[in-house]
Amino acid sequence: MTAQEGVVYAAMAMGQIVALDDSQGGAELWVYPQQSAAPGFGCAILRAPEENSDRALDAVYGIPVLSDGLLLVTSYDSRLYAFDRETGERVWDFSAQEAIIGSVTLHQGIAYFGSSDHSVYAIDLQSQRLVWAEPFATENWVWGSPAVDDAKVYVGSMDHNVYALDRATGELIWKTDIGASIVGSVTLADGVLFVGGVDRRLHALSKDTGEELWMTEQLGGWVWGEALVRDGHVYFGSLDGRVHALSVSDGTARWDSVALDGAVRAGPALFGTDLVFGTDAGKVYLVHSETGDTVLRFEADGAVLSTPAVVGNTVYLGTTNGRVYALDLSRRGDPQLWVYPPKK
Amino acid sequence: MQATANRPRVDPKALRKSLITWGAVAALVIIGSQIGWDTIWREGFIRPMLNALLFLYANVGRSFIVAITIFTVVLRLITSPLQIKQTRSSKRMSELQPRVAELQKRYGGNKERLVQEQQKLYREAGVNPLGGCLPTLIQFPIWIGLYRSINSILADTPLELMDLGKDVYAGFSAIKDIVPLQSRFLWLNLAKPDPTPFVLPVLVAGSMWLQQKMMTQPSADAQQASMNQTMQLMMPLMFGYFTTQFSSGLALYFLISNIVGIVMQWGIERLESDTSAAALEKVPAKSRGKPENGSKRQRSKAKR
Repeated sequence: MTAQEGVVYAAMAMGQIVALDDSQGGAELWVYPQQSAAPGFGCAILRAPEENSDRALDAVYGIPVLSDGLLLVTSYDSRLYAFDRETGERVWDFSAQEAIIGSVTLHQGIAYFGSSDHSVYAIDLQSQRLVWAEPFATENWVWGSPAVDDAKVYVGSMDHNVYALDRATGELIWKTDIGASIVGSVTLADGVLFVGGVDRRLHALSKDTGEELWMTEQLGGWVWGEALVRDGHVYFGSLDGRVHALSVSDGTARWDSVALDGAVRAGPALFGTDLVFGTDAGKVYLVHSETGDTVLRFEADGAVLSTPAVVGNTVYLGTTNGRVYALDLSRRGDPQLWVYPPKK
Repeated sequence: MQATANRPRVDPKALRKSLITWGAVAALVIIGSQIGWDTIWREGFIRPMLNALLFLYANVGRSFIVAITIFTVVLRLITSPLQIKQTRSSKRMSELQPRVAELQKRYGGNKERLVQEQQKLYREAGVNPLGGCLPTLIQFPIWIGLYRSINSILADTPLELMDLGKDVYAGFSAIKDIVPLQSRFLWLNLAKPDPTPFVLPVLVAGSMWLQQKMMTQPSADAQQASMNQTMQLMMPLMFGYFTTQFSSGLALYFLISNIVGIVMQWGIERLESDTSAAALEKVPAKSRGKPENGSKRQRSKAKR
């Protein structure tokens, strides 16, 4: 889910990409594949999959990312797609060897992403070519999004390592074995890298050396969603449905972890001084960042597994049932502004 | 006195069995409505199976094939009393077929009487016509649970891996070393269907056909025989098709399960025929020659 300038971009079930007009109650601006362009069942079958420009994507697990006039979407069908953000027309695509699960991370016109083919890619959006001589190879799936600064690309792999690569060449600078598979993304903030593992811990590493600064005790579930860092504290959820707030400097707890209903797989979004957390039970909570006070604000009709997008007072979120919700969490009572597709 | 004589006799053993069965069903319904069916399903089937498979994977060779083979053998051994019961039941039913056919001939015009006589025959022979179905029905939740567990274990999508993350026991610390599981075996990615795509479907369908053939008893009733024949063909074709759609890890489970089933059926057949032969030797020669005892004829027919 991405929202900018009054337009919400979302990847739906069945591989459709939609652009919705927020001011018109979520009315469709465009849908990919375009229904009108459908040439009929026979024609679609006769063409090779590459030629089917109106073909729906496979499952999309990453968040669509905007870059100038393009909307970048990664897909389980091994491709990175670029759509014209105004028209929804497919502009180009790039193929990896296996599924691309995480979103791309943009930095100075280059898209960085990992793939189930064990590799990390850097693609120039102008030329759609690899920036590095070859993709960087890890020893297992790379499902999370990389973190990028001017000098390095930081990425976690299911081979248990966090890698720091030279941003210009893709060469390895350092790697640190955290002792467990890394499923989610790496978060970079305040000079520290935060990464969760299937060892049920959050690890904090120095971005310069990869040295492990601290790690949490074993929590009740895997740490999958990205962490959010704000004012010297790091906030994240775990699959046992708990939300945690720790000090960036030494990992001490800001407040006792809070239990929500359902597993927390996505990272939180910041809504004023509150954190918005979605769970796989479809519940949407506001958790006060300073106190940990928690309020259930909305119940969606499907699991919320991706980080919500926040613009002003409006929170946009998607569910696994293929719905997009726009919520005003600041108002009392029912926060729902609109839902797409509208419920009958 | 007359009224007492006509009253249907209640077999105390059968009554006790019936009470226990219905009591268990009632208890299950009450527990299910209190705790929730989802919880019972997850805690009673999915999590134990999934964690047992993971434990085998982590401790025996780090191979999914080894883990699923051991798991299948153990599961088959645990459920073997059911399979033996099923085999015995269908064998007895098969032995009664000539007498059922006789009854059909005699009471064909009177359905009510025919049903009564058939029930009497089954009761006297100690056979429950539905007895053969129960063991199969009991195994269904196991198959469905395994399907879900295997999909989670061989996860190659975030949703499947998340299911694994939620279902693994908190104390199972080896999980951090084994996720994601090694999903390559020969030419297969176990999380995806066989790319050939005929090797596994043919093996699954063929082994299932053989297993079905071994388990199906010959029937004297033409309609029953035709139905058996259709089932013998349809089930393997159906599972062959499933194999083209499901992950090859699940297809390998079907294959291993069929092979183990064939071996066990062969063993049960041997055991049963030895037991029957020993029992026959104890029966006086006069009784063995009785025409209504069709077991010997049926056995030789089955062997043919």
